[in-house]
Amino acid sequence: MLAYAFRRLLWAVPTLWVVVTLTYFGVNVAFVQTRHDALQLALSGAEVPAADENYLPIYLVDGSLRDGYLFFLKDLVRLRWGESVTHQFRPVAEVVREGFAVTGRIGLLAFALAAGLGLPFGALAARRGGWLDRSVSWGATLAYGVPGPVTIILMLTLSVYLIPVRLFSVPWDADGGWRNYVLPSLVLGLGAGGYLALVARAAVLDVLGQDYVRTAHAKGLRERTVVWRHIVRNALPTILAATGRTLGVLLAGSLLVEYAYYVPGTGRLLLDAFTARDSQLILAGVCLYTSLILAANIAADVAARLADPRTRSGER
Amino acid sequence: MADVPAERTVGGVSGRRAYVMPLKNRSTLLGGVVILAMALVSVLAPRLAPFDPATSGDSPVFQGRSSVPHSPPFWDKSGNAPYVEDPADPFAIYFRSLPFQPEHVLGTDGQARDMLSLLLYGLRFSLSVGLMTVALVAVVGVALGLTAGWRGGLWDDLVVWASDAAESVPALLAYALFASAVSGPVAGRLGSVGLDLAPAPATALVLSFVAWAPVARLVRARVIELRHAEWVFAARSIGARAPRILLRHILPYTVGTALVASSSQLPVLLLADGLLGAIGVGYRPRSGSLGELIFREFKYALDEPVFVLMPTALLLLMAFGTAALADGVRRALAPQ
Repeated sequence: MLAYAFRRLLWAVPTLWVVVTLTYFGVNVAFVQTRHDALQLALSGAEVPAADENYLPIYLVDGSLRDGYLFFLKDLVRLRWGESVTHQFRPVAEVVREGFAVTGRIGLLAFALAAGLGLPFGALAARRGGWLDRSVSWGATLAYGVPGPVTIILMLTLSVYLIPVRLFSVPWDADGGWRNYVLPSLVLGLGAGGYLALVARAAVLDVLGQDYVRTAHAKGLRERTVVWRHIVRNALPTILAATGRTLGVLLAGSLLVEYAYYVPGTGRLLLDAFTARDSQLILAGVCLYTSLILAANIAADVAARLADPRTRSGER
Repeated sequence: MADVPAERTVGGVSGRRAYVMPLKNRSTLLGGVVILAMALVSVLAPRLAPFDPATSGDSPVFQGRSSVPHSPPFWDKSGNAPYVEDPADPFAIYFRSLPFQPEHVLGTDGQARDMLSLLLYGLRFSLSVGLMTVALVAVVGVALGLTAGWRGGLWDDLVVWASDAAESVPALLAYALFASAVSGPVAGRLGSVGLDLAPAPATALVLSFVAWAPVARLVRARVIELRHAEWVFAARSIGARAPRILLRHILPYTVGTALVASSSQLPVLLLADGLLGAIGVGYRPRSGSLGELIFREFKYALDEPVFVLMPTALLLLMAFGTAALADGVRRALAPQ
């Protein structure tokens, strides 16, 4: 178990490195749009002139992209994120932390909604079947298939035509308080909830068809024992894996939703940093995003393995 | 015995009927009709659109106004809607609504451009980008998933790792970066090929940069499942080589899954394309896509929701059509 977790963590490091490297080169090449051979120049280590003087390539040292990259890596390892060009030169760590406070809260609320609604409904739908199953499957597919901004649009227009009460706060109000969080959390939570419901339903259906469930019933065990000891226990790994990954994605934030809804979170920070060519902020934001998702995936997979009754006695 | 009709064969449907029957499914047919209709409208868009969307904002009706308003679609005969202003609310959207203009049947957008033309050209671009991306993602996903799932080993590890990495990147930022990096050389080469659709292949390429990962993962899982299928075992035992087994016995069961997975990403991809357009990144079409229209009209969603609902409805319709078609293809290729 420890070996598995360690191996996954070890693999996460090169992944993070590749992502950060690609982002670094992407940022430096993307912001030099006027030259069609910018990419070749960058790769050959020659100097890549900036598109205009408003863009300050922070890490370019003596004009060479490769040297700049090495400096960037050194700072990264020492966790020095630098200052943000567009946010009055405040330290990037501070700016990102403020953004994450918002995005993290939305993510947690959305996760609570998704796990609290999606998992029970999915599991119930698999067990009961019939109209509940059909409506839950249909509803979950709809919730999952329609992307965030579209759901926002539909809900906003619904609130215009049907509900006169201003429950939502559109757009983001600086002193709106909790009302600001309602719509993004609702939208993200419904989508993720649809996904979790489908996963839970599939996992439970899988388990229900197994022989040991039938055996347990034949043995005359109480319904509750069958449910908890056999069904839940065996469906848990799949469900845990999916739930953990969903938590990671929700915490990392949805750029589409944050852009459409003017949420001052990390997603919007990233996009604004891109338009303003703030490379420090972009790199720090990408690091945060990728680390969150990688950490959540590893945690989810480790938890799934822990919960799997087959791996209990030390076997792999 | 010789004239026993095919349907009565023991074991159910056989031969060509197995491929045709699922296509007669109601939702597949509906999806196919929807997509065909949209494709037809898209091809005829330059003929059908009353205005050139990029320039229709110069209509004399809107000249000399300080704020650029919407004019309503034909079903809204409310005439002169009152000027909405609330000095107490700093976030109220100020606008002056115009009466219905007969030459703008579906109204105008926030920049006084004709909605009908915008929708037509937007549908044209979004449909081409969407279909191209779905196809590209499905092809790449199948290729990678097949090769990774069949043999395992180093290539499999690489593909799994690459798809994990692709999914842990903020997709929209990756699109933005990639689009900016790619648009330079591409714009130079494709400049004069068909004014509106030239950016479509480049955008499709950009969007498939990250979108291939879930499809490849699904196809790989499917191939791993199918490796142990009895017909594969049978084929192997009579000496069939790997490429033949892959193509003839495994591929049909994976293409459908890949298409379903990639078409389920279509709405998000089109919105991502809209976001790219809203930020103004990469090689964009002159007339904007449906996603761009959605993002531009989004701020009026509370006051004049119909303008954001129109492109959204088209987008959802497109998503439904492709999903239904993909599902039909899946059931046609893998009758189970």
